[in-house]
Amino acid sequence: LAETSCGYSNASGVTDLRRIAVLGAGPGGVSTAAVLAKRGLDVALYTRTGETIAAIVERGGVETDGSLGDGFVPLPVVTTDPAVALAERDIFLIAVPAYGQMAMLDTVMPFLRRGSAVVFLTGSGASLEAVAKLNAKDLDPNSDVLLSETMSLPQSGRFLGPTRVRIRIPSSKMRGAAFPGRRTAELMQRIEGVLGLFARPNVLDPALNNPNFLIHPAPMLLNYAAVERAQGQLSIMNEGMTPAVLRCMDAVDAEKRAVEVAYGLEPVTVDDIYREIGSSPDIYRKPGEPFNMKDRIWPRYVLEDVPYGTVLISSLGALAGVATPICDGISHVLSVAEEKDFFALGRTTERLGLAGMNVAQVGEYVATGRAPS
Amino acid sequence: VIGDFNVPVAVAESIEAAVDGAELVAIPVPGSVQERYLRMVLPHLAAGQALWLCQGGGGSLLPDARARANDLLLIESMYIPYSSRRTGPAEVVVRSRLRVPFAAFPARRTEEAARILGQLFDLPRARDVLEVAFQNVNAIIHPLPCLLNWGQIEDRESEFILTRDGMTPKVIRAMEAFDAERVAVCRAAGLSTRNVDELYELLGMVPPPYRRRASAAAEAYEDRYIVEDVPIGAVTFASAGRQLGVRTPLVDSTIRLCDTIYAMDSWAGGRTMERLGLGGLDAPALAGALMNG
Repeated sequence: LAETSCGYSNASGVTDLRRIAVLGAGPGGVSTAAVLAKRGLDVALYTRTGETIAAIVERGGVETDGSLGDGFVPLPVVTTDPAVALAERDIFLIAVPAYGQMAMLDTVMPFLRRGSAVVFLTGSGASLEAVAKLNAKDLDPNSDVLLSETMSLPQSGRFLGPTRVRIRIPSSKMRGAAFPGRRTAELMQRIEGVLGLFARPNVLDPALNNPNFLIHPAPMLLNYAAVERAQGQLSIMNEGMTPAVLRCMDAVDAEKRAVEVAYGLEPVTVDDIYREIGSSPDIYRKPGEPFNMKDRIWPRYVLEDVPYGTVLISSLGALAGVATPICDGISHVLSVAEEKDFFALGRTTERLGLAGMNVAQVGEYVATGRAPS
Repeated sequence: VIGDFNVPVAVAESIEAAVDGAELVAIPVPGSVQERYLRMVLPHLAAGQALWLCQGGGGSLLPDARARANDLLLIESMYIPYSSRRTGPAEVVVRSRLRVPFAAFPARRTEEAARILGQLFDLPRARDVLEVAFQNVNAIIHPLPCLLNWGQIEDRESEFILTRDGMTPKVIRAMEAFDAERVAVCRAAGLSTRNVDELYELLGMVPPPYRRRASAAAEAYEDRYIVEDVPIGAVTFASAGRQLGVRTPLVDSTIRLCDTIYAMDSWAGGRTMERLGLGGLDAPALAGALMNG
């Protein structure tokens, strides 16, 4: 890649012996694999079901446009066979929606060794939930397997066809951290040339700042009937962002920042997050289509962004004594509308292994990996 | 529905003149301005007159009105007994009669109220004015469905017709869950547990407006769907829920999000049980206070 400031570091020119697996063949996983393959890295793409990758397997790779330029990127290993994709790999990049992360981790588990690195791309707290799974297999995230997560995918990708993907690599690095936070420097070394990260003090920072969680729940609630009527064919960031919708979205953001402050993190507005990743708040504050493609609604705007977003903010807030009535209200109304209990399904402090700790103990735990006795 | 008439109406030049000697003084204004009208009218009313708050909402329990509960006859109904609309400077269309429930405050005087209203309308009696307030269908069908349609409402301004454009199957389902919390509060208070469909049956509107395609007569969204129906309505039954130990998370969530949309504080400005002078009372004490004043 020509860009020096992008999320991927430049190759040093030395043959890279690291073997990488990308898990998940949605637009995120495929574009991640394509970017790494284009850079000459040894990358295998794994997915659970064959339908999504049949065309890519047949074609032997993907065509790209956008940041990678127009061209064909060969992907030699694309498979639903874990043994083929995951054996003898060093770095596992998990690129699935939050609700699929733990199932994907179960698939990876038999292939983890001392020294393996697991990176949840768009972690949403997955690395904390993964700790118990590792411990159950006698793997210690303090020394054996390196657990980590990023705020978001290192690039955006959209399928234009079964084997065609439009990729946009942001001009800056994604927030990320290892669990425990003291291992983040080691993580940065291990993934140098694979992923460039904006290192944060601990995983709560990237978990709380997933931009989707901040911009989707309130607009989805306040445009719920329109989405239902349009059967998803609504460009919500273009048609649904009225002044009061933005006010509710900003109220979610304000609660998120209050939670950050309570955990000793540096609070950052959603607008600054968008600027930080080289995008712009105009995406949701002004009309116009990102990607120059008419956006549409994906079910995950609610099914992922509520149980892993507003529920996470509420739950971390509750532990810290920070009131989050807007996040609570959004999660509750959408639970009723979807007939799903997002508080029960979601990523709460219980699932993150933080229940019973106070704020100071959580801070100590995410920094050092030491749980209070 | 009442036929075409030219109805002579005497228009008084002052409140004193309008209410002087009237057996019944009706205040058919929306809840949001009801208090203002009460303050204007109450000083001019004499002992023995009946004061009817057509969109009750517990207005007779507000301190100024409550102070006159003995010398006046305070009556509340759920709504105006007609569904009507002003169509010109001197023209009104009455679409349907509504059998709105009514009660007096105190409720031991509901019989007196029935003798007066009964000469004019055929209306069902409620246990007391709190039951009337909790049966306000607008507070059930407006706030949450409006939230779930907010982007469209704000985008299209005055052209959004909730019953035509906004009542999708999922919206109706959410509204029913909202209503179930209200019914649970009613049950705990010993009040009628009619659900929203049954309330429309009582009103004589079958099917209810959210279950049929809206007619041309349907009205476009107005701010009062939230600005009025949340603080005078949803807040009242949510507040009663807290008092009686009934959780109302969906109603609470709806209030909070509506407040964010309109940058208002419905709990501070709304008709809570405290504001209505009913704070701290359990169900039997509530029934007693509303019966005897």
